[in-house]
Amino acid sequence: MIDIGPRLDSRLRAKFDRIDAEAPPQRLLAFRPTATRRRHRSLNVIVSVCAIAVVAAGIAAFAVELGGHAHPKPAPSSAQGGPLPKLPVYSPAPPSPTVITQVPMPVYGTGFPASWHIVIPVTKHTGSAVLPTFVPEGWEYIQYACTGIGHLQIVSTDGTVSESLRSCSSRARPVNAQISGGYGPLSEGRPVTLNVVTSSSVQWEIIVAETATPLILPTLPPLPANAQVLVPLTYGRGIASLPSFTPHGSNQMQWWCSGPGGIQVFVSNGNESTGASTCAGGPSGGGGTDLTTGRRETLVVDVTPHCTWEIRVYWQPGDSSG
Amino acid sequence: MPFRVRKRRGARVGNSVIASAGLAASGDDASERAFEAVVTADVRRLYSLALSILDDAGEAEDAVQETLLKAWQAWDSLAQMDHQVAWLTRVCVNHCISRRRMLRSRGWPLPGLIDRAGPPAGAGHDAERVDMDRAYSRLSTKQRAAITLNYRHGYSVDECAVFMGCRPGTVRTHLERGLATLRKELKDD
Repeated sequence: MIDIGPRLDSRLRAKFDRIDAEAPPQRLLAFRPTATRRRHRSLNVIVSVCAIAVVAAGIAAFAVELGGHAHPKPAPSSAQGGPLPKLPVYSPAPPSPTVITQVPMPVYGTGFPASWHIVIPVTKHTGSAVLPTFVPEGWEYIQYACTGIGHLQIVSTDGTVSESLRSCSSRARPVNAQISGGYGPLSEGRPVTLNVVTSSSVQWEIIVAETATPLILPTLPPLPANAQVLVPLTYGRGIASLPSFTPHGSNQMQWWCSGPGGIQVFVSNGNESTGASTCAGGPSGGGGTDLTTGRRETLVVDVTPHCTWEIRVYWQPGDSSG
Repeated sequence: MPFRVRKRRGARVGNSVIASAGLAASGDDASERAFEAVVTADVRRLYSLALSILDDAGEAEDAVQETLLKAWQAWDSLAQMDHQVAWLTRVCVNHCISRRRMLRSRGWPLPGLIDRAGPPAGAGHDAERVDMDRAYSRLSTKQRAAITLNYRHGYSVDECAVFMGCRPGTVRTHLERGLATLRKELKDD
């Protein structure tokens, strides 16, 4: 113990005596050990376990999601391609698209005339892929749709086909389902491979149909300079429905037909005739006008079973006369 | 040295908290009675010790309560010790010192710095007592702890060092500087 002077010693002693004289609060004297915070501790443990579980679940979900991106579905192999078994060119049997469940894509294949031959059935994929190789024997039409953030482009190996879709919709519906313009005749007799080029997150579906090699019909008159094609040049024999389109109020049709009877084109949803002409006695040309506007419609070419035809529908902006 | 408190006693306290939960959950009345016989009986001494160091009744009360709580949580191991009083003293001193540090780190006014405009009404303080209280409030917590343990409770410097968790030389420094401050404030040269 260190040395303290007598005066400071007495003062300190008095100070500590006063401190010792103070009684502790009753709360301390009545301290009950059972009042510990065990329930708080238990609650903390439970909360901690829950928090750890939530974090672990989040990490697992993130890992699964990451794994899905790292290992996308394999692209359709070109080895599946080669000459596909073809249906009869003018078979009245409609195409049978695969039922789509994952992405609510539009009705596939229904836009094609029933007589067209499905070269590549509905193919669904995510990201870029190579479609099965096929041997074209006519004109090819592509119907496709996509969803996700990005663009979609369809090109053939030789560059003959180069189809670009507008930005894919990021919503589940609707996707830009449309039928491409006719490509053909492609390299006849040689296999063609279509590549779908898009970003890795874009989901898409595609179907490729083919019409027969056009019969010998006269060439249609050239399109006006500002014409916008609604139905590309389409060939057929017998009754067929054309690819659907959205009318603009003054939709012009051009056709040639050859065979018994005549040709009449009418709107499928209202039986409204848009034009008619005879086909007997050699190729004969004609045209018509569809004045409907607004809702998407489908035109039906009504001819006798052995009548061949070619048709094209376009719209001329600014032409209100019809 | 009459006893020795290991510095790693805190780790044992931490481990025993888990064990004490089971003890408390079982509601062992015998343990509770033993705890009251040893710890609760020491409340008055602990309170005086805390009040001497903190110089504030409210803070001293909190410090003693925390000490009692830790003692109960560690009672499984504490009951097996030979020097339970030393354990309680060390926990109480550490809590007093760390509490001052905690208050300072949070920017709260320290008990000793709270304005004391005058003695409570009816306290009957004389001038010498007021001077002593003012001089004592000038001391740091560690200086008060060193003076209390060494001067008032009679622990040696080495024992004080164990209680305060520092070296004996540091305790001597706290003692000398604390007493020097008191002499200066009280003009007792």
